[in-house]
Amino acid sequence: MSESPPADDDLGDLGPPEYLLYRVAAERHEQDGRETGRTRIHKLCCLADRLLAQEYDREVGLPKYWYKYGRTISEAHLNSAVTYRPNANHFGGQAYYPADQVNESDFDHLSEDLKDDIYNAVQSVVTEHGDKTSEELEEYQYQNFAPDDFVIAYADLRWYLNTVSQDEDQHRLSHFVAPDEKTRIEELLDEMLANFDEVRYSEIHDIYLDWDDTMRLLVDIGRSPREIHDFTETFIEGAARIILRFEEHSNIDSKTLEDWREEKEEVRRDLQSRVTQKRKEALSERQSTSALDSVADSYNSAISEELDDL
Amino acid sequence: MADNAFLDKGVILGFCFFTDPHHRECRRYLFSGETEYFATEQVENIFRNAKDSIIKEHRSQVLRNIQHVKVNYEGVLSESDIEEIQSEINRDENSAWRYLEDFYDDKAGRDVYEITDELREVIREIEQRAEARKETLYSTFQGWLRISSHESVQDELTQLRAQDEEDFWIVIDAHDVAANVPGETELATTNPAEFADDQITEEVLGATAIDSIQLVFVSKGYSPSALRNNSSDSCVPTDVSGDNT
Repeated sequence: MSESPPADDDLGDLGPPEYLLYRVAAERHEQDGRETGRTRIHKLCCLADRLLAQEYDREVGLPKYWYKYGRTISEAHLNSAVTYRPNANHFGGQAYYPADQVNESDFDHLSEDLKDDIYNAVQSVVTEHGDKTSEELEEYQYQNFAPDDFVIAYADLRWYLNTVSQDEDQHRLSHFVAPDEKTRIEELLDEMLANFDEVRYSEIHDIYLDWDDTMRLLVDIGRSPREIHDFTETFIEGAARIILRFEEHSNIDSKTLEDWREEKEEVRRDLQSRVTQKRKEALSERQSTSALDSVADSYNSAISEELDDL
Repeated sequence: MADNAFLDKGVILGFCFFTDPHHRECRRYLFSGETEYFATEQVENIFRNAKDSIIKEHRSQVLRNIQHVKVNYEGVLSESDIEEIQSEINRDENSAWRYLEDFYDDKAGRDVYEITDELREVIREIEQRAEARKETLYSTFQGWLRISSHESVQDELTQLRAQDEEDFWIVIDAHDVAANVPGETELATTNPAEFADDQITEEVLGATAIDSIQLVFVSKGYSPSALRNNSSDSCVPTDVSGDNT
């Protein structure tokens, strides 16, 4: 089999996924010489992997899964020797370059056909998307390849909040909206509600509804878009770690899946606790209303029943 | 009223959750100004868990109902929409269906958005009041740490222990207060299942230093179905010892 790694190579195992990563880093570097961050490299790898599967009928075994900012690769499952990653000069985090000590001949053990396909797919993807920002790539991925409509809806909410939280003039979301009128954020929350799949997301159904109502409460009491954005990120990360990465992954080994499963309950408890804490804070600032008094008799009957059942 | 009252979890829960007129009665009992109130950490823990559980379950049912209505209905709701929504409320989940059905009674002719927003205020109010009242109540009663285990008293409370271990320890703690704090001590409870039973009452009052058992928030004619069907009479303090204070 020509795809097995060379036995005497100091670089370690270099298979098709490593070649794909190497080519993406190299193509990006050749494209404009500018720094490329982790998110962009990951997203370009995922796009090239998808193109290989769809257009070239190739499964190269790239380890990838759905996470907070969309589909990403698991670098822990790749040989990292193919990239050089110094701290970036123009943004936080690392910039990715093809490693100096690696060259094309290190992949000679792979079949020429396979390498040609990877080379061409990566070149095509980088030509089309290589100059996009990480946010633009994320948006492209969400709009074209999101796992379901609920994910598209929460991404729309996050982008909206991201935009308004950067706009000083809109530091209060309900500023220009009459009390009985829907805010844009409520419309986006309603879109999520309409697309929530109760079967797929059953493990977080109640946490989601608590989060949703707390979001609306935060808008009602006039909390900043930045705080609401961060609270949204908390939920999205939780949804990814509890549900989506299990539903949307490939080439992730069983040990990693087991680790994810083991931490799932703790992640769920942590998400519930964050939502509960935020809700408690928000409720303490809420203006009391007479809504409960309008159903006082039946409500008191319900509480009597609860006491009876203690 | 006795000089001292040992509070069972249900008394604290009733105070936190009931709305008027029941809440007014609860407040009258707990803020008389003449009685010292005691509760143990165990009672507090049981109360806290029960409170969180009640809030969690009611919030879940209310928010799921809102989700269902928002997803399946739009615009102004007709009489038949309202009837349909009421018929779809799950009566098996927990007791929230009682006020959910009631809530929709006069909502025909109004917009879904407006109605569900109002329903959100109901569950938020329940949570907010319970938290605020808990803080108020905690500032009025004294924490009690059991001084002695009262082995001989434990041996005498055989019927109660067989019936309910949790109530058994509440009685031991109430006895501990009665045995160590001057004045008359009553056990304030909402639990008629145990404490309205004459034999149990006799056993408790005979074996312990507790002077009386005060059934708070339940009527003398209690039965689970009567309580459900006629809740407006259910918040009157009832002295089952006959030893009025």
